[in-house]
Amino acid sequence: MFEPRTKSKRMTSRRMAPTSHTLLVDPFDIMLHGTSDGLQSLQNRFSLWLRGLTGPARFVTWQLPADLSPRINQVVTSALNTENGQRQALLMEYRRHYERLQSEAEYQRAICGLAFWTERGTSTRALSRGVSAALDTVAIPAKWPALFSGDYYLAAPNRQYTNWHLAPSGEGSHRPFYAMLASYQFQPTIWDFGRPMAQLLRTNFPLALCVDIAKTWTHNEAINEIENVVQAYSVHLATLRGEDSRSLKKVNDCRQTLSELNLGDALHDVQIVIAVAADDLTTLKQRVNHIMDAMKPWFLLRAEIGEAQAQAARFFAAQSTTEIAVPHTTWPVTSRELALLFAPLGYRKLSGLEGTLRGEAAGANYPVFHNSWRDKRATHEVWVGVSGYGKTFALNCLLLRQWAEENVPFTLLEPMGHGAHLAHALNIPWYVMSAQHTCLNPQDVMFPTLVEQKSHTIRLYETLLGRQLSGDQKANQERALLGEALELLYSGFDDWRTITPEIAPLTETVCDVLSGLGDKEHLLRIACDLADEIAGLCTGRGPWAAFVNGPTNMDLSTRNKAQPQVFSFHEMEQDPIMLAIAYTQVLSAIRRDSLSDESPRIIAVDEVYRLMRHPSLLDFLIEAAKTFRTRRKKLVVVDQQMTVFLENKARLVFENCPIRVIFNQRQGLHVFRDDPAFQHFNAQHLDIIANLPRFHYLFDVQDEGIWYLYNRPSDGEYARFSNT
Amino acid sequence: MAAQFKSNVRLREEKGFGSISMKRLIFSGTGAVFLFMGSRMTPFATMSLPILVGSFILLLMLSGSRGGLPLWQRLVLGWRARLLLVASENSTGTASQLVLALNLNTNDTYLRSKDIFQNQKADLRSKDSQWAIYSDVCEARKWEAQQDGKGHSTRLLVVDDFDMPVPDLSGKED
Repeated sequence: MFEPRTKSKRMTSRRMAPTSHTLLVDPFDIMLHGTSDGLQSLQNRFSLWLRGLTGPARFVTWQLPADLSPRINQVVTSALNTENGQRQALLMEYRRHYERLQSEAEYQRAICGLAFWTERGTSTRALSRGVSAALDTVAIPAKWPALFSGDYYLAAPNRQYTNWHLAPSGEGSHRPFYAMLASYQFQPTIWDFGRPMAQLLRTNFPLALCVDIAKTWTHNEAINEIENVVQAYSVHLATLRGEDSRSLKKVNDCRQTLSELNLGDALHDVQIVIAVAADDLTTLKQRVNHIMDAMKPWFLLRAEIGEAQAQAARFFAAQSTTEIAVPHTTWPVTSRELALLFAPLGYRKLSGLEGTLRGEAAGANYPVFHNSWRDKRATHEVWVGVSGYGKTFALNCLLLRQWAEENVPFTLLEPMGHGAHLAHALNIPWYVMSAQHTCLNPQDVMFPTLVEQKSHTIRLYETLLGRQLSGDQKANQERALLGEALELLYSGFDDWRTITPEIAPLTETVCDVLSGLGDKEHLLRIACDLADEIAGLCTGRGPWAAFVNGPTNMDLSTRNKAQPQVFSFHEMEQDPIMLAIAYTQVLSAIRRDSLSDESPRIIAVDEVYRLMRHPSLLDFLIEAAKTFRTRRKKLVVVDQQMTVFLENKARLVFENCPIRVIFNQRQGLHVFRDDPAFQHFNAQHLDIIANLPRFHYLFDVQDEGIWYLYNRPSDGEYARFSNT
Repeated sequence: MAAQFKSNVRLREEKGFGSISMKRLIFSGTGAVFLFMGSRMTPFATMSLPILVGSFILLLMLSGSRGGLPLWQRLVLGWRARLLLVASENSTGTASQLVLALNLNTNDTYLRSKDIFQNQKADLRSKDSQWAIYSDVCEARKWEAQQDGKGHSTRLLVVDDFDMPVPDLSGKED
């Protein structure tokens, strides 16, 4: 019946025993499948995967109450350790924010595990890849966490708790008591992804839930088995004089099951086992009663009796069902029904507390932290969203949090002038690029090698000229001549890398040198024409003379690189060429500094389209994205439409950004539908993107998951940035 | 998105009398008749009719299901566990002798976390895994400090009370 096997049988079976494989599965957010079509498709996907099961399997969810105290302690420790008074004040603000979040909610932490028993030779890694693909979430081969630690003994019913239970023994006997509940009857009601599993997971006490799939019947066996039952009932009903509604229902159920099996479903024998923990027996009784009562409409649970109570704990380890000596009261369900028992996978709870607070999960209200610095490299981010939906606000919050909590300084480049808020909040210099007052010399040294430096300066001239110096014969010759002129000028210094902005060659000097180059008549003419063209634009009364023909008068040196910096470009907003030059010079200075160390820094570029529309600057941005990453500089590129990042070469920037932060994109939804980069988005994701309210966004981290978040600010953040 | 769960389609429970299924009636009736016949061959022949009725009722009661288990099974489970508990308290008493005679094991009343939860095959940390599970945040930080600069892609998932042991840091391949 349920006796454990005898020694000889066990030895025989061990030779033939299937191998166990355990996986850990990252729960996803079912909110992202929230329409009826989305949920149907999810059920179909789970069901299709379950049809393919051949051996026993088990799905386990461990859930325990959690709080933010580790994070709060971390913030307090950082505040005590920092010598920067401003950071200290910000850290205490964040401490209050976390304490407030904690007081307003009950958090739980949950992880899910899957176990399979297969023939020898099956790879756990292959199984995990199969599960990842089928369930569309991360699954990795890993040990399961232990349900409890230390020793426990079987305790008989007593006055406080009238069922068998497990009590702690030995050291640390203040550990919780455990009760094991097993299902024995599934009620003929409608189950969905919300009920009853989500209800169970709403409880705020430690519990573990196991869905044990003891057997998956082969198609023919299952059909034969059920047809036999139908046949027996048909005979019974034919000979019955009175009414037997239960038999009629049974025949209907059998026929329905047969129809589902004939549509491809498999039949599985399933039992649910729940482990409940409590610090004392009175609480244990309350919790057990609560679970039994709450689940009664869907399935009936019994408290395991005697040794079965102790044996049931083995359901939470990788022990085969046949080796667990409990009364196996399994229930036959079809794949589409069993799919709904995997609902806990769709209820993501509070995860790790490391990293930066990215927001609160919409609907579930648990804070989501993400550590994008953990692999000792930076992970770039693309942010998109139409105006007014909270991009800038969220960016300011992110930069402030990273600076305060992780001591990561930032450089913000923005064209609207709202950088003032951050500059004032942190009491740092606000660098405003102005067409009237700023001068940026294209000959400033920004690169470590002469070839790169020449190439950079030529790119700046291309931007000023509005055409590329390559592609046809004349343009190539112009490029060569300009390069020669620059080389001549830089070679005039002993060590050209030590050229400071005060002594860097001016644009008019470049024109003078350029006009004298060319050893043949036609080259001389080309050089003169190019020098005239540049001089006409950039010297004398040229439109950009004041901007580029003079020594740089803005501090782009490395002196303040440990501090946050804010560059605003709103005062040159009307002129795209000046804007592009300004962006490039600042980015070049940042790039130059990046090469000198590997300390983390965020470089946030708002309205990046202004940079990308200049082909030569786009090349620069692509190259910078690669360089910054390896030097632990995180690039955050922000714009209104995702299309900006997907066209032609701009895509290379996009592909270097594994984190995508997507605010409302009602206007440009087609790219999410058509582009292969977003094939992992389902219809519900697109629906969410089209209808994201203000301050809500999708946080899509490649290979990790998608979160639907609300950027809930702290009081301090709200006070500082509310008018952005 | 939803499914109507069905009754146990593998189980036959034809209607018998009242809430008693035909299966139980037949089982109890057959059992009672056997006892009746047996008693006719013993000195209790005069008591055979009450034995028939009594055993029928008794068998009906013992086969009555609660919590998915018949009463006799619940009683066996309970008594056996109590016997094991008594035997485990006194290893030389009658209960212990009985336990030995019944080929039971008093160790079944004790659970050792190490024995039950640490026999999984898979390594906690494989070379390219993204997660590590720790029993508390301090352990996670300790590991991070040790890994500093080695460029591992690790997602830390801290499980406080489920007591996951600190992993082998050598990062063996699965």
